[in-house]
Amino acid sequence: MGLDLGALFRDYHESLVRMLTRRTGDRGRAEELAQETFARAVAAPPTNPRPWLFAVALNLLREEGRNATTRERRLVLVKDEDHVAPYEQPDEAYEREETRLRVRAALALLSERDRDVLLLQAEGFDYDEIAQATGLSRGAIGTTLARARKRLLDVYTQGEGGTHVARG
Amino acid sequence: MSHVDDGTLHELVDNALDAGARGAAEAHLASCGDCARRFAEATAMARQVQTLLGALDVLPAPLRIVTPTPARPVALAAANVTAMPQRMRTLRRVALAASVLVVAGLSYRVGVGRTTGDVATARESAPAEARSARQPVAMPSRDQAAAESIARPSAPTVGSAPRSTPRGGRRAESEVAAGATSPAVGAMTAPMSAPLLAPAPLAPAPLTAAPPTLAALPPVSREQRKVAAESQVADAASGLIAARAVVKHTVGSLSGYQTVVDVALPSVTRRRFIAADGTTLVLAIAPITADEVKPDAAAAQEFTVSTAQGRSTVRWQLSGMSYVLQGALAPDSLMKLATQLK
Repeated sequence: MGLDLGALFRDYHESLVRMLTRRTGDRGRAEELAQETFARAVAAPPTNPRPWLFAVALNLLREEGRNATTRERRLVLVKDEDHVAPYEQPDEAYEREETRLRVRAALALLSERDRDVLLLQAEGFDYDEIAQATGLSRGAIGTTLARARKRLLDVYTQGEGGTHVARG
Repeated sequence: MSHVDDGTLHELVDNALDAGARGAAEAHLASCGDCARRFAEATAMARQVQTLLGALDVLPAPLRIVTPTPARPVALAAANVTAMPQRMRTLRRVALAASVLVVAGLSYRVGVGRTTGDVATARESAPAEARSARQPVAMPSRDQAAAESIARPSAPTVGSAPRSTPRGGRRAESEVAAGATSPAVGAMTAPMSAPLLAPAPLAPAPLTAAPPTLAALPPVSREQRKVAAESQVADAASGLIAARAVVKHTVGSLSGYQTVVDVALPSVTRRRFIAADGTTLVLAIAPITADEVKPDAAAAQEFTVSTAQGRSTVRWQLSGMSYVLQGALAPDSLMKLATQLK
């Protein structure tokens, strides 16, 4: 059974890069991870691509965290024009950046599991897909999302927020 | 029925309950004000979280090399060199209004794995005519700083740097993106960049003296701007080209930073630079082998910087390869690239 990489790419690449960008705060790195993920999909075509792709990408991210050595970079060929933020006045840009940094800081205080579940849900994953991608039980997703959403908003609202960093 | 727990409420919000459970939960909400209120809160939370996560998407797209594609070797004639002052005047006019200044100086040399000291030495021995040819470009301070950067003994060897970035560097990089405002931006190359944080040593005075006057520029400029840079091809008898880049960002009145990049070829190497303001630049350089370099051709490279719809594109040709860097720099940003081949 062949893999329609083009279709896979078209359907999931943008979403995957967005999720990874939100997760890492680094668009370039997100694209590298996405590229590696798709390369693995070619090597071992998944039957249920979406949860598989995101699970692999998140695993790669964790692997990368454990790995001291930088893996080989690959040249990213830009497909079409990315969507580019329209021109903004500096104060608007500043505000947006402020928000972005605060959200990143809040997200960083979540456990890895909570963070992954939040980000996957934000990409439109249903609970079954989230369970497949994370290895959590289907029944735990609602509780996890409830906790993660509350914590993210609490920390974001408090600005400085919690002192303890939960680890998943 | 007892109260609906948080998990179930969120399952209801996300439409993740099967029909039976959903019916039971909704029946309870209809009769329990507390749970109805909690459901409304959960709904609002889900929406707010979605909005907040969307805020993470405003990161500017990194600069990337779109191609290289084969191109006819450019005749990098002396005419280009003599034409540079005009281009520099254009450049300065642009720069006066620029709030973002990105300077990238690329130095190429033959041979992988020599120490950086060799680079500086080789540089000192550059042919006099080539040196004088560079004078009209009027970027002596940048040149000098680049040379100093290259000569820094603590810099990694040209051949080893790209693959030896420690995990810590990447982590630090993420932290920069996450909001650190310390001057140690560009943490990937922090040991090299630290001494280079002095304000604007690399650019001609007019470039940095100007206050940010964003309003003076049209929001979207489609104008093509040509930026002169120079390059020089020396003996490329054997081996591969290694490259070193100096990248400097100045964003408005914020303190800029610059960093030095070592690139060993033929492996394609990308490096990211994240400024305190979130501006991200990724420099990517594709393989160039000695075969592709025309020996002894003192040459000037012409860089074209165009900006449209908030996207800056820098194009240049080098040794028969056509390069394109694209990124979402502010439209009024200015990128200046200089190349030197050794």
